[in-house]
Amino acid sequence: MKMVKRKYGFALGTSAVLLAGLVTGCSGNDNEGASPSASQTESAPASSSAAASGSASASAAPSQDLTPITYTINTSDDKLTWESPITKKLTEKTGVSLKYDLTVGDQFQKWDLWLASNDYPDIISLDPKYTQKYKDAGAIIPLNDLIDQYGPHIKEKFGKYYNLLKDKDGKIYALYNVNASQEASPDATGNFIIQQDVLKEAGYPQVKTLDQLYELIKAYKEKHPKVDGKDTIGFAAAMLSYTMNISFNNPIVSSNGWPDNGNFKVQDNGDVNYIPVTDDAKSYYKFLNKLYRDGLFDKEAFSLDSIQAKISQGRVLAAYAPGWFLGDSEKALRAAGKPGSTYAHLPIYANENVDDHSNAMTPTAGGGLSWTISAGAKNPERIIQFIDYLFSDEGQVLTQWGIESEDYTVQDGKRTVAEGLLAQRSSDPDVDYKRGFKSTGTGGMPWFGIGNGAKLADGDYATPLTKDSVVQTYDDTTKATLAAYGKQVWADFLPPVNFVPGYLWQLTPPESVKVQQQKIDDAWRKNLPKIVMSKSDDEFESSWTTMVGSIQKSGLDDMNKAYTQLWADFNATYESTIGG
Amino acid sequence: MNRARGNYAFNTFNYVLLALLGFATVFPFLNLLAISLNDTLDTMRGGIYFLPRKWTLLNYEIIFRENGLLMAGVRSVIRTVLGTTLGLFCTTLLAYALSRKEFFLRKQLNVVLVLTMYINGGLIPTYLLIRNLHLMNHFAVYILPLLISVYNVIIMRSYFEQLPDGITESAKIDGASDFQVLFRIVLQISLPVLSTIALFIAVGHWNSWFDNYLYASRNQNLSLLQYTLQKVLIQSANEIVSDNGHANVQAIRNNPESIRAAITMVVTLPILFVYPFLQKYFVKGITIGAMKE
Repeated sequence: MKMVKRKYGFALGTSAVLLAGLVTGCSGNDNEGASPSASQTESAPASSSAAASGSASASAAPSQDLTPITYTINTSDDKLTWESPITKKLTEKTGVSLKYDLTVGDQFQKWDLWLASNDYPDIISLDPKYTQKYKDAGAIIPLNDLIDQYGPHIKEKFGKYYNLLKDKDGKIYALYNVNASQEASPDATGNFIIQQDVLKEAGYPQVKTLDQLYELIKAYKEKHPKVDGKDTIGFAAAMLSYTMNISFNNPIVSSNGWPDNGNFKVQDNGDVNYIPVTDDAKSYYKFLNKLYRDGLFDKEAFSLDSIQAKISQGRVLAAYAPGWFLGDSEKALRAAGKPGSTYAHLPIYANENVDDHSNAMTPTAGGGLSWTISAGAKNPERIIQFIDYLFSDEGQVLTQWGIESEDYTVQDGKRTVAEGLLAQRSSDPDVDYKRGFKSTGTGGMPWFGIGNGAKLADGDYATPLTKDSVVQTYDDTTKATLAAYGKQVWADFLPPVNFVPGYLWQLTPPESVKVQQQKIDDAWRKNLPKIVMSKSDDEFESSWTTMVGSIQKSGLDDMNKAYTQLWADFNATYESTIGG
Repeated sequence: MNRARGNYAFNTFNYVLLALLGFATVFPFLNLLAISLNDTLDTMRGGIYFLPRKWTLLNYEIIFRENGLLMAGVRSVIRTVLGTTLGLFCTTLLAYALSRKEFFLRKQLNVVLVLTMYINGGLIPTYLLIRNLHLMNHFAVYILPLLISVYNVIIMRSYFEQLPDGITESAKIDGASDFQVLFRIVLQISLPVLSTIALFIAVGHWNSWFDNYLYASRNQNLSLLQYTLQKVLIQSANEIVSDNGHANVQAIRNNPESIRAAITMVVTLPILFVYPFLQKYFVKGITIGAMKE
């Protein structure tokens, strides 16, 4: 008898678990699930506003609640710690401490599991797609009322862009940083790279077009066919997985001066076109083909090699490579005593007449990770107060500059980074963690920073990254090259900043053309090597026609249409929110 | 004469082929060893094959600097020993029962077990199950879910099945109970399969990091060696990306490639040292089995 009973209980338990899995599985998958989750979302604001009104009387008094409270927050960064001078100061000012909940590896998987089991941290740092999922499941709360009550600095810093924070339903679920700077960050650079020795030997000529670049590397390779016994590579490229876009899509974007919309070109009339089949792509591949036929193009470009080893050997004269793509290879060159083989980072154009709009900036850092507040967090108003402190000028100085006299000094009302910190930064790569400058998920800048080059109310820079500080990090070779062109930093070569509402690649790709897109990318990857390695003009033309044909067959029109629609929708939302 | 020459040619061919094969197996390992001992910036320039060019122990230093690595190693050893012992015990009991023809649920149970090899609950239901069993952030989560692996049970069952029936029957006639038959007779002549399965289970436990990541990542006191090393590796890869293009960090970070090489050494060497001893055991087990038959 007892035995039977236990079995029964076990069966019940199992089916309950299965049922729970089914239910949560459904709500987790259902992105547009309006009806089943609506009740949940409805109940969340009710409870939070109750909490808010409960403490409203407390905040009517000028002093804010500083009783110690700890919130959990997820991060994939193992080195973040609350045991640092800056974070301790944050606790002193707000009473809030953060406890990091580490997600190593696939954080998307972890986010799904958390949502399914209702077991998430108090502050959840999510990307836009998961913010929607969590919102639909009622796992995060809208923040409008809380910000109205406790977030004056958040409103002040966002200014006219405040409405951009709002979701389609008019509510704010996620907070990230705003970009208050009117200029490019002083450490921004052009994306074509040329060895400084090549420029030096040619007497520092102006390099504005791809043709000029061609002449330069041709002349240099003739004189220096070998580097340390190995062949000199005129122009390098890479094809492995996503790097294909960097070598064979993005240079078309930059050299034509478009803002970076991933694989797509947005035309003035709003039409969106897949770049690899445009005439602009054809002429760029023609340039690569010319390099190839003259033996200047990287013979291993279509292998699975990474570009970094070749660059670290000092063999690559030029390439298209954003700073982050180079990894530590420039440091390796300097360590090997070859500063001349490091690079000038320049914008280079398809022809003389390109009007450069590629130096684009978005007003906010939406699209990356941002902070959301879980429905289970106690006293959410304390979290908003904490975030509000980070947005205040005092908070900005503390988190971006550090602690006065330790991390920075003030002279004549201007902040300067302390010598000690500079020295530490060149010897200890982890010093920014130890001091507390690093945070997680606040957009493009740590701790909701408002941008390099932006200014605070006191008239001084909001962050320590200024032209002067960037120049300090250059070696003598770089300084000499820049001086020859009459510039201070690589960012000086860039055109003025161009504000755009957002980029196409930040938006969630349309599900409906996923299959076509995969086929198209495959066709591009398969056909491109033949085009670049054509031995004659005829072969080039026929390979080009083959590729365009196979891409069109794979559903090019459908994909272009879907993306045109996506872009139009995004812009309509942007216009309406920023207006209202 | 002709035959001798043919033999000679065959032997030469054989040796060359085996030597090449051996080289192909050992080379990646030696290469990683060289990389792990080479300066990280120098490694980026490529061309490291057998010997490091710029000798350094920094890559290992970075790994061992990680907090709690030693304790994580101790936990991994405890998990492996405990998990292997208990796992082997449970696998044996189940496999033996399934191998007995007189066991009345034999067929049905076999089907149920095999089904689980093809159909599983999926990640989220499994996660919820573990959660509802209150195994989250508990050491038992490393042991209990892995007690039985159907694959191992089937291997062991097949081994038991091919043992001659006469052995167990004669023992029974001599008055041995079922447990006596299993422990005194069957297991004594099953050392080869026991050591093989023990090795499977042990390597599985030693290498496992996913259950640590899924079920026990919030409790630092449960971190295992593999998970801790995984953290070091992913961290180093993230940092390289997040630093670059930021003028702030001028100091040199260690390349993920170098760190990966060093980690590979740290985790494989223990297994490499244990293997020869177990291998000796294999041979012994096989000879005992042969003599009894």
